[in-house]
Amino acid sequence: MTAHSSAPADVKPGRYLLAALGRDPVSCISLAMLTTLFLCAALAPWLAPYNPLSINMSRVLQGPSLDHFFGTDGQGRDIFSRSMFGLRLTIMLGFTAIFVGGTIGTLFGLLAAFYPKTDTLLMRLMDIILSFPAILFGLAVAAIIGSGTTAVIIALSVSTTPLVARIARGAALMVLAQDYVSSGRAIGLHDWTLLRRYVLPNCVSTIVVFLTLRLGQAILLGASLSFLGLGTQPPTPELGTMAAQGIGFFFFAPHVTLIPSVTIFLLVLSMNILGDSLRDILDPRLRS
Amino acid sequence: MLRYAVQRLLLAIPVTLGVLLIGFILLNLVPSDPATVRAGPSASAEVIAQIRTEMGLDRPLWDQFLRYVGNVLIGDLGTSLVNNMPVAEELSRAFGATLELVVLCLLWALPTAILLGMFAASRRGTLWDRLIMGGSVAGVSLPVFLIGMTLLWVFGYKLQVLPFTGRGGPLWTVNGLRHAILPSICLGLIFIGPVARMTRTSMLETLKADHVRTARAKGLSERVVIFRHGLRNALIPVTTLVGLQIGYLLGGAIVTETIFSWPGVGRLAVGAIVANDIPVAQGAIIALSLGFIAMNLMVDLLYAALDPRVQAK
Amino acid sequence: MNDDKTIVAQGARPVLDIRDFSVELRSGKTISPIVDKVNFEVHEGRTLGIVGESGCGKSMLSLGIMKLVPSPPACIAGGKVLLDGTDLVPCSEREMQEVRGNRISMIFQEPMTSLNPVYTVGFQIIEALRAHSSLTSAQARSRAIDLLREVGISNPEKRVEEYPHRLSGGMRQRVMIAIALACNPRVLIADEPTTALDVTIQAQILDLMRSLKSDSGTAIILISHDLGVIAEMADDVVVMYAGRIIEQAPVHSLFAAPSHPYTQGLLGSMPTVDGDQERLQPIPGTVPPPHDRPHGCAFHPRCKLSDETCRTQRPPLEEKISGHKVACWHTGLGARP
Repeated sequence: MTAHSSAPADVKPGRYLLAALGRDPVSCISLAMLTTLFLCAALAPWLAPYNPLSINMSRVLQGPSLDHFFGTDGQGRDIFSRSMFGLRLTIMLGFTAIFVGGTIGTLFGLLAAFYPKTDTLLMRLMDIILSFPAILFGLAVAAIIGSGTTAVIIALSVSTTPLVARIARGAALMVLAQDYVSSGRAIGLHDWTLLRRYVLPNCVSTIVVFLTLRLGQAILLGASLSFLGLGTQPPTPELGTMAAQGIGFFFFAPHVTLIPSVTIFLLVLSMNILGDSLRDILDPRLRS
Repeated sequence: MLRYAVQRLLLAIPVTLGVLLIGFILLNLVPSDPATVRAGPSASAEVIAQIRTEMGLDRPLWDQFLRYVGNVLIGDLGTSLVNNMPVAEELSRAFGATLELVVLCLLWALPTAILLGMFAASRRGTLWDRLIMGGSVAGVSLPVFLIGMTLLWVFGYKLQVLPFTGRGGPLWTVNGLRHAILPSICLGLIFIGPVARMTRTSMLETLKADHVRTARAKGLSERVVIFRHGLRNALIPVTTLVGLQIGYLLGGAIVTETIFSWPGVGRLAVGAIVANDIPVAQGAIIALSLGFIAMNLMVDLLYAALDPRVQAK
Repeated sequence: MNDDKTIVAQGARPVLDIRDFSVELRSGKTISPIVDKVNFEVHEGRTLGIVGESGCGKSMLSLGIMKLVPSPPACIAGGKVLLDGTDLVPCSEREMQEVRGNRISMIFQEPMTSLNPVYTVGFQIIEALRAHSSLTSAQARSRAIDLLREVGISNPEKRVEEYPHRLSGGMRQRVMIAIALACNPRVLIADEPTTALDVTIQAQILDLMRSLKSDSGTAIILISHDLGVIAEMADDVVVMYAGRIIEQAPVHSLFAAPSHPYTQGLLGSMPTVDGDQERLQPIPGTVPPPHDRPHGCAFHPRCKLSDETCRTQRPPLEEKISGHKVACWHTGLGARP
């Protein structure tokens, strides 16, 4: 068994995936929702009707209206525009952390699998990091370098690294047991070439599926840290920070908190549903 | 079993030392100088130097670390930079509150999750099953603060049936219990989804096992088969999952405490970090880590109690 | 009167009498029979062997007798299971619980997984004992130790506290037998009891079953695909193919004069010690799946003798010579030359 997907080889993987997702209505809706949210985030500077930072004290805490689709916050800023920018930052936060953690983790995992000498040392280190929950990293990093977006990204990256390292190591070990790797070795390929050309491509689907599932969790965690005041600092719009800012007037203007919170929920929900479907289609082994 | 427990406990010691080391490094990595903070803004350089000597900050790092471990062992975690209270005192009060919250949450959420999972398994493929499994995906996607704020708005504000700020005394008093209900529901809701899901999968898997067929062939009643030979075995993987979820539970607890002004360690940690009160932040983070280690230890022991094959290894 | 065995068989009422027993697999609208109108009897102190390739319905038949077929998708579609004259098919689940493990018990193929890993061996025997009797736990415990001793486990006082993972496969199968015998059942159904075991252990377990049968008079249904085991253990043999009985005979008669081409094929694919066969003769093809059984004789696609009649009409199971029944147009009762 290889670490590769179960997709038939003659069909283009992208089309195969879409066709498989298309069969499940829930996945379709999730995909549509996620696409919309991503478009909103990507096009925020062009689509947003207002400047997310411009304060208007004459229009404070208004409910949803035609002028302001989602109403205004405690300083009269347009929540719709802020949500778009907030979504942008939240998604970027998650992606950056997943990318950094994913890259370092993959590197560590491949190294550990490829060079048994480094295996114990690297994996022990990963185990130690893994034995602390991500939220504690968030607290610790915020305590050391101060609250802010950077603190959240560092904490999320650090806590993602050991998980990816484990998965990458497992997948790589399985690939390394295959005959074609031995033949690669036999024709005298350099280690690095072997890793890049044979091992990595065959681990990638497993790692990507895992990262998709992890992205939702990372976003939730990042938003929680921001909500606690340890992440992105106001007035920069970030969904968790925005939700926290609404707490003061929650009872008479709940929408200030609820709109960013529900946006996070929809984002993470569609990611989780798609992640589950992706896993079922691409990599049944990850199911446990 | 006893040998296994001792073995696990001994294994926890180096991890605990590691936590203390990290806590210590944390203190030294902070750019602001505790002596300057302690001395106040208008202090002269001489006063600051004197405080540095008093606090032992001029000694070599390894010496500081040993002193620090020694102090922790005798329960001295320093004093708060903000209100000069001993950190250990504040922590011990807050730790009780957090423990209360977590225990109450587990008390209702674990049985509920397991029952929901069993129910979904017994109705596999029906609308009920889909509802429960859909709810479980939604549950893991909900930000804790959305749950918390919604509960607060509905029960605390609209219906006005339950208090929603602070702790109302010990749990066994009516007022104490009433105050703890909303926070523990909030914390439990994030926990139910994954556990229910795992219980369902594990239960379906177990009921297909050969030993369940043997139990039926013995003439045991269906109830005994399902609970004694199904659920008992199905709980083994569920325990593993609960162990993995403790980190999330901790994160959830920190947010929950902040929303409901619950005077626990999480709220203390967040407040201290925001106020740059490093000794308290450090103490709280260490306390949370140790709590986390202790809970993992308990899960390990529970796992061993549930599965006799574990102790053999 | 022929030999004395037949007298026993004809004189007494059978312990278990299976009549027109059928099990079906229902998925959506398609109904496929897995066990199709099967008839046989089992007598006290005797062993009935059921032979067939995997997929022929042997295991479903044995689970069906206990009413333990996985339902859905399978269900009992008709017929009678007479245990000492009482029909079990209409019995309620509660009544069946009284029968299972008490009057009919069962041992399975996979000793490694058939015991629950989280309970001690003793607990699992005691559980069976207490389900059907009013023994106190102390009495049940000492009975459990006796049972372990009876099935040949040394040091039973200590073994009773062991968890299954500490025992070997053969030991676990002995424990399974102890559980099955706990309540002195009238019938013991053994579904491939030795298939998963090493050959030496296999012989020990068969010896054990033989001595238990002669001690207690329990009737045994022995299901196996291994003709060697059947030849050694059984008094009467039923050969099943695609859910039906195609040949039924006393063991000597069957092995001396196998009549159905399928039985002949089974014997031909078995190595013999004297080796007058040059080469093993495998039967070509496989057992058809339940939802895709051929018309007429189910065996005809694999049969050398098949002709038009075989393809269109199902041969009845008829007595060829005394006690030897076969369902075949060519070698059966009405066989044409």
